[in-house]
Amino acid sequence: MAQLVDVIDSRDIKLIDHFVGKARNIVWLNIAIHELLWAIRLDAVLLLAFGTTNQFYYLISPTAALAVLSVAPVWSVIAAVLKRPGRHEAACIVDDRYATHSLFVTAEELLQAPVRLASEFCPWIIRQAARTATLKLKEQSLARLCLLYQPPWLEIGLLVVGIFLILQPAPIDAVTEKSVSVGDNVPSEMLPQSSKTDLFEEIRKAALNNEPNVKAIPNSSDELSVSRHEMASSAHANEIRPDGLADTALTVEETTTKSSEDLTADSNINSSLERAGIRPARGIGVDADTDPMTASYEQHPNAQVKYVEVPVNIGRAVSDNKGSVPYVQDYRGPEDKIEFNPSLPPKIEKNTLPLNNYPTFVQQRYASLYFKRIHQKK
Amino acid sequence: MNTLESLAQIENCIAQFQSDFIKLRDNLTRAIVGQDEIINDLIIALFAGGHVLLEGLPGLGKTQLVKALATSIEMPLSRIQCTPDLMPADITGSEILLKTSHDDEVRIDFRKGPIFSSMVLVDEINRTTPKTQSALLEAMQECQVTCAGVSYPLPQPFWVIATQNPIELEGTFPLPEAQLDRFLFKITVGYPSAESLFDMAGLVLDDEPAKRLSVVLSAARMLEMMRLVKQVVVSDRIKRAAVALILATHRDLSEKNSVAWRHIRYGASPRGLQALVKAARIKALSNGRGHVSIDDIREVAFVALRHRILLNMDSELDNIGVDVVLQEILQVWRKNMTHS
Repeated sequence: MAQLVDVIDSRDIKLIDHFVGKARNIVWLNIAIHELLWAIRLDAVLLLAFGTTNQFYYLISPTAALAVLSVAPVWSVIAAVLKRPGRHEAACIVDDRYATHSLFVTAEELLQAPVRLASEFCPWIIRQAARTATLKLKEQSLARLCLLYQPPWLEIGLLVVGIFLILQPAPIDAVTEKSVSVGDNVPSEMLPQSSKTDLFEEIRKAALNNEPNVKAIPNSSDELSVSRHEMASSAHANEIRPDGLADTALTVEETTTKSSEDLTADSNINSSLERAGIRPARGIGVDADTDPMTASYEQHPNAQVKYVEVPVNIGRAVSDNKGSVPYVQDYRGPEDKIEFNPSLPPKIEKNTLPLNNYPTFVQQRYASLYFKRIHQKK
Repeated sequence: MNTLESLAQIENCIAQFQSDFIKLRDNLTRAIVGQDEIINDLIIALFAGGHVLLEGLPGLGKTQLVKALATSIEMPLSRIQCTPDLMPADITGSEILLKTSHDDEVRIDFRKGPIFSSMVLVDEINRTTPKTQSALLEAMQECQVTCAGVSYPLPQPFWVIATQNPIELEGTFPLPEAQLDRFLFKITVGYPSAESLFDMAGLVLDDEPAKRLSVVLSAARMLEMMRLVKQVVVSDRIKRAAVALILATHRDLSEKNSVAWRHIRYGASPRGLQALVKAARIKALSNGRGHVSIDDIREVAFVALRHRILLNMDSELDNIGVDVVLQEILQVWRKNMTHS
């Protein structure tokens, strides 16, 4: 019985080798593109998530994000190398693509296996495979194998949006909280007790000298309004109060107009705080506009600043702060009631805006859960 | 003979096979209208030298198809009409006492039964008793009949084409699994399409359509074509695919909650694997190829495996047929083969 290689033409063997080898490289390229596409998809989603999150919470820096995202492409390249198809696999794929009914697989097996000529059909099969390879090479239809993937426009778009988002500066609140939470000490704790007292005295004097439009009014539940920042500041007040005597806290309600002198006084107070190493997350008058839950001064030209005494149960003060900065309204003097400026113009009740009356997100969430549970019980 | 001449000869052989296959198919479609696929499967079984079980309702042309086939290939056909009182000796033959006229010598001689024919039509096989059905086992598997300790070889080629009716179950004896496994194909004959019925309405039904057919293949040519089938190359990948398909029909070898795990009690036998590959070879050759492809395996899988798979009780209660289960198995199998 003759050997197969003795019967068939060597040109046929070379032709099949060339064709299958070329197809193998193309298939490999496709695998690499496929892996890279997955890496791009993963990166796009991660980048978008990081970017969106960083708009609210400063979780990860752009440098760290890019470092994380570089893992996927590297891994895709490694996977592509590992998944390089063999000649047999390439022949299978060629058969599937060109509907050659396992011709190249059979031919490849016949050429690879050093067996004797088992069938009279073997040389004919090799010849058929060589003919088909010639035809396909002439038609250049190998390009069909390259066109498996379209450019991933959606993923690229997401990637661009993600990059744009992650390069956006993070909100000041988020950055401040981040910096404080990672800081070693809280400024209020750093200051000695006497310095604190002096500081608040200085602030009060500055406020009195500049006649700010602030007024402390007796505690009234009707006028109590709580925003997220104020809740946090109340909690801070409970924590930072050194003597533990305070059972009230002061919250701010923007109700009246501010004149230029008032704004100057506010800026003085804030600058005093900053000099003392205290960066209020929401300073008096200056940063109040940044809170989306409150109205801006431009929107309400008749608004005034008013201090309101709020009873605070020290024992029940629950705060998640991890040593945040104190706010000026947390200060409580030796008196229970402080008239910062008794010569303020009379309060215009009509213009009192119900600011900060909106339920917070957490409150809304609890409310919805509560009603949902009741509904389920019914 | 140099290589080029040899290649041209092989090509010519394959082309001739394809041509003869198509000629036979066309001849049969003249007699049996609207059953092209069944005719195709029957011819494949014929070239594979396998036995066929035709299952279908009365009046669909099963018997006529077998008669037409025998006429087309010029093969002697004997018919056995199965009844409950049919005995094995009625099929295989029996020893009888003979007395010669010239010397008054009495001797026992074996009188051959209807099984001694190249093509045997066993009509309504499920109407006869298991005892008689079993008489066919040896003939179908070993192509011989043993009577009184003496084995008599059957003529070659030898085909048994049996028919059965799936609905009239009263007074019938379902074929045992061992008997079913000996059939290469189980072909389900369905209703023809509306166009085919329209064509049938125009036919003259005065005589049997098989009588109008001409011989298209001689017995010698048939044997030559059957030898050619053995030359078809089956690559290792195709063999592995066929094995994977057979194993996919086994409950204990398949994954939990897979189709086989849910529906099948017993899967296909190794004889089923041989039938699958053998039929795929003819399918490839009839398409002008010298090698088997995955699609050839898939196309013959239904006829080669449907009678070798035993469904569990739940599937039978849910009225889930073997073909539905096999279809699902083939889908999964084809996907796996593409990805592998």
